[in-house]
Amino acid sequence: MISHIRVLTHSLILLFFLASQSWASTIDPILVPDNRFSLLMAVPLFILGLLLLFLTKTWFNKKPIKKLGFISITPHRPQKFFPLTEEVNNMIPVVEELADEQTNVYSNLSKLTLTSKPSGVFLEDKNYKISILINRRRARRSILNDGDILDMGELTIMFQSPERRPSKRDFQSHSSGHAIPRARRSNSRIIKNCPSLIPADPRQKTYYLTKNITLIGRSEMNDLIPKSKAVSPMHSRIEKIAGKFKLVDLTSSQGTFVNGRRIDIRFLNDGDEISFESIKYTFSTSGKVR
Amino acid sequence: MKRSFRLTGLFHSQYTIRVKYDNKKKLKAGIFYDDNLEIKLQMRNKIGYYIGFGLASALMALSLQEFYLYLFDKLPIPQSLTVTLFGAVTGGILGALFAGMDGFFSGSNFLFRTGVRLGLIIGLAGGAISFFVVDQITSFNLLTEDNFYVLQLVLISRWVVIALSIGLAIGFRDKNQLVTTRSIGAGLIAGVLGGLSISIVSQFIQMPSIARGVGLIVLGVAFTVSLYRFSFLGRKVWLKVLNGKLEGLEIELTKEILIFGTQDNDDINLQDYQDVQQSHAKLIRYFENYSLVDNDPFCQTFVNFRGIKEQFLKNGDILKIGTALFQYCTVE
Repeated sequence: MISHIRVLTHSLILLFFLASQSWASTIDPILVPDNRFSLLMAVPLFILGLLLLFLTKTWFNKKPIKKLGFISITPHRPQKFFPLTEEVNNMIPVVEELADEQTNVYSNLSKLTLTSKPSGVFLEDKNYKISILINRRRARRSILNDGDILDMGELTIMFQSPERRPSKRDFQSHSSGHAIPRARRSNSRIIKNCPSLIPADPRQKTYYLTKNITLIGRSEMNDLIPKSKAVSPMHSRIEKIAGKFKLVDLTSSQGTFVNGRRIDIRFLNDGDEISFESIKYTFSTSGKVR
Repeated sequence: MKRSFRLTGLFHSQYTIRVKYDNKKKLKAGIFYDDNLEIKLQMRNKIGYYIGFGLASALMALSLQEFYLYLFDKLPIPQSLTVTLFGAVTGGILGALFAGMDGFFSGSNFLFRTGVRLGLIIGLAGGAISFFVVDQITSFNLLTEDNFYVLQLVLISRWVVIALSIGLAIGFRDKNQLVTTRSIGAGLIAGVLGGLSISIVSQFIQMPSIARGVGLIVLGVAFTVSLYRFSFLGRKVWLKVLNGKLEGLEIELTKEILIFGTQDNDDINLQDYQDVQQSHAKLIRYFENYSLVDNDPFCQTFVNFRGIKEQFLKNGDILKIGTALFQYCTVE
């Protein structure tokens, strides 16, 4: 960057030198200084420009005022706002306002009722089958919160309200911050009785074979990366075939050993000892050491 | 290493490394990041911000011009040098203002600095060269006395060159072909309109300062408004912000990797939202679409309100990072 600036400044100095030597005299009427206005205009104009600049910045940074209602956020459709009043009992006027003819809404809207309660707006689906997604989950009834997203067929709308109802889940680290109208599921399954590779070195972690194909090797793209130089970048592969696990050697230079024998392809049994040169694992179908 | 803190977030996931290996490039994350400058944060979809900014920048450039002309009228300097310097001053100021516009509004220091620097240098060079050349051309009496329209065309051309060089500076800042095309188109329109308005006004009103003022204001407003208009052309993937301070903003995704975080040079800066980590999550491009990847297991990232480690995105998906909500949109 600095070298660019240097080259440019040198060339500009050269240009000005040329210009001062030149014979030209302009007859351009625009470049004539206007003695009556120049300084009188310059200072207030500069201040005005700066003011306008920061006014637009503050205007841009101003938070939009939130009103009670629904916004349609369906992609590729114009964004509209529907103000919610107490007269609205069901979703028919909302959908009439926000959806156009091309978006399909597959539900009986008269049975989607809206009631205002002291704790907020309450939405209930009285259809036989639940036809609405609240925060992308099927829910029969919930109190709507600010920023909740409802899906009805192809229409996506967002609920907006000036005050945010604090929920207990906001304080939990695992929740998504939105009240999900359902018993919360744990994000990850607890691994029980999962086939695994237990390393002989107790400092290493047990590797659970959850994938259909597990790649083993020194290269970063593998799933299991033994930290040893004896292991090839693409050493071997474990495939899950009909409930059994097959170990395949990928023409590695040092070879893959099962129970002390070098193998090409072999189905693994419970308690087999797999070794890649110096690194040893025990294959266990239950995840426990026998 | 200047930006080593930014790289630490990168290596939490294997995925960035995998991309590099597939392309058979060297594994150098630093170069990988310096190549990609900050993405263009579009303003909210209101034309008022653009008009206001164009007007403000034109007024500032005009006042500096007037001051400069007043100063050089008093000093003993040859007139041809004055003309060249006049062009350099105008081009430099306009370039710095317009190229720094996105950084100024999005509040990102990094984008602002690169924009101002590039705009200043390229605008200065463009203005100086165009004014010098036009000055040399008009010095021939042949042109000026007989052919009025040719003279006006030549005079207009220098404004076109200034506006084009500013467009080029914006393109260099973003290092993106699409953005360069858009900004150069905007520069062409703005330059032609500004130059035309100067030559038309100067025929009717005999005060040069007013002609200058009208021309600069037309140039500035036309530039910003056409930048806004062109920003929707040819765009493929963008994120719509649904809540908080940036509500209504549409962020166009043009880079290979974009980082959500709270640091100054993060691509999508979420300082004003709660529960956002320093480098929280990243978007990685696969062919046309993007996938969202968690940067480390302590960050909570959600797609469609389900916690994810990595997720391929499709049209209409809702991303949640901290308290910020986004909608992922693609072309139909």
